[in-house]
Amino acid sequence: MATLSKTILTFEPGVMINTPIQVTSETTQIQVGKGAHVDFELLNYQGSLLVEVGDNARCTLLSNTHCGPQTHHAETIRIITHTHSHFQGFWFSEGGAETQRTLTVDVQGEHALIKLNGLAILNTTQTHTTHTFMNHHVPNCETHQFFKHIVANEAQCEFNGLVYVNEIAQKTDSYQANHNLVLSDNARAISRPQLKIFADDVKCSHGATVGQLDEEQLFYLKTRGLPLAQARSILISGFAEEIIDRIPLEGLRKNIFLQLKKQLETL
Amino acid sequence: MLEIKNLHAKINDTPILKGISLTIKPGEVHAIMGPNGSGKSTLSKVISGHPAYDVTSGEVLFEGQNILELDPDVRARLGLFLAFQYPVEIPGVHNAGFLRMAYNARRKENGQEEVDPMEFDELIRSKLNLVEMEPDFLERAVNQGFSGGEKKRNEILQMLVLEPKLAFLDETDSGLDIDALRIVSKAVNAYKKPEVGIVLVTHYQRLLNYIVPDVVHVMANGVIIKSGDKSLALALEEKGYEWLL
Repeated sequence: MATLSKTILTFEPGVMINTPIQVTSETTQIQVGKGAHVDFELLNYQGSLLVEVGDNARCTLLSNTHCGPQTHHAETIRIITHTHSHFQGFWFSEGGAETQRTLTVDVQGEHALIKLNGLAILNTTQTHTTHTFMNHHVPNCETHQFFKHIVANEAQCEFNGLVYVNEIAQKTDSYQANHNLVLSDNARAISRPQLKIFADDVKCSHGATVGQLDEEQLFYLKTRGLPLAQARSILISGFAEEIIDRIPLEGLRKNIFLQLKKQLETL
Repeated sequence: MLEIKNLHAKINDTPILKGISLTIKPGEVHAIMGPNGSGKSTLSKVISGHPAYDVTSGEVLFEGQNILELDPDVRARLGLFLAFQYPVEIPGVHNAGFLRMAYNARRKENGQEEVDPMEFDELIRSKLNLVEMEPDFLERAVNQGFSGGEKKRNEILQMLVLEPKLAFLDETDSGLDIDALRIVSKAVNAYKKPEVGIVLVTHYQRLLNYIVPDVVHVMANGVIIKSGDKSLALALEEKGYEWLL
């Protein structure tokens, strides 16, 4: 007897849903019809998911991973965007022994706007790897990637980001940034941003930083009477909030913010 | 309230301060002038506890206590304040939240209750007016994307909120246009009181037309080469530093 192991969520063209829809690991495919407007929240999503965003559709996806210390987490998400669509994704991770995340975007319709954002807070011996593959198949699209990691103790993070611009994809505007805050001598951050561009009329850039807390910023806060521990926590939190502030869904943003505060106390 | 005794300090083995002695009494306004590289800014940084500088000899007594072994935050909570020549940008950190935390750190030190955001909002409105800043300044990240003049006004706003006993204003006038200079001076003058000492570190006499000093010191090559009243600053304006060196 066959078991139904795949769930496909389909949203008809033009539907507008105001509250984010919770997606579990059962779901393998999401279809957002033309002109529809739907938001999703993924909680500890494990497995492989395809999200297809139709012409003129709007879609925000927030993936929140906070698993137990022994968990091995693997998440593979492929996003296909069509003409004039807007897709925004946020990946927030903390906890778990090992996280592997692969995000692929196939930009298949012109004039799409795609934003991928991520924040990972890693402690103890946790490892976290993100692969992004932003593949531009058509002209005139704008894509942004903004990923930040905070690594403490002996944790390790790795970011491999590839922006691929096919020969036909003229007027692509793509930006990729990965910033890493390393809080201890034994923590490690690896960043490999890559651009492969085969079109000649594009605007593409990337930036990657790996660094510790800024001594001048710490000194400035201390001269205002803030003790070292508080000054550190303010700076770490500020680093993280730059991502969280971008989450457009207010309720989810507040939850993530509270989760962040709690997590930062453990660093 | 502040006694600096034969202070020597270096950075990366380069001596910068070579025997500074200076006494500041409550209610006094001192101006420290001098050419580039004379050690004026270093003096402010050493007094506030910047980790890049090593004090090799001498003492700094603040209200009788030697502060040189104290961390910068402890010095600040005792009532020392430094307005930075180049205020530091801190992305992601909300200006109002930062000001409130700093204010509360000071209150806690004095055994007072901390204030919540509502109470703090009331308190800060009047201070904002003094530096002629719009409330939306508070909603931005600390100094991020601020113009030169906005940064300096933000420093003065912090001084007004933290109410230090002794404030070092390090080239607060540099990069200010005449309107901003007037605003900053007005706010500093409004803060002047008998129990507060103010030190203006500046290149230019211009600032001293607005904030009138009781004592003017001229620094060169890491030492104070001359002290006098406000007429000294006027003489410098007229004759430059050459005649003193």
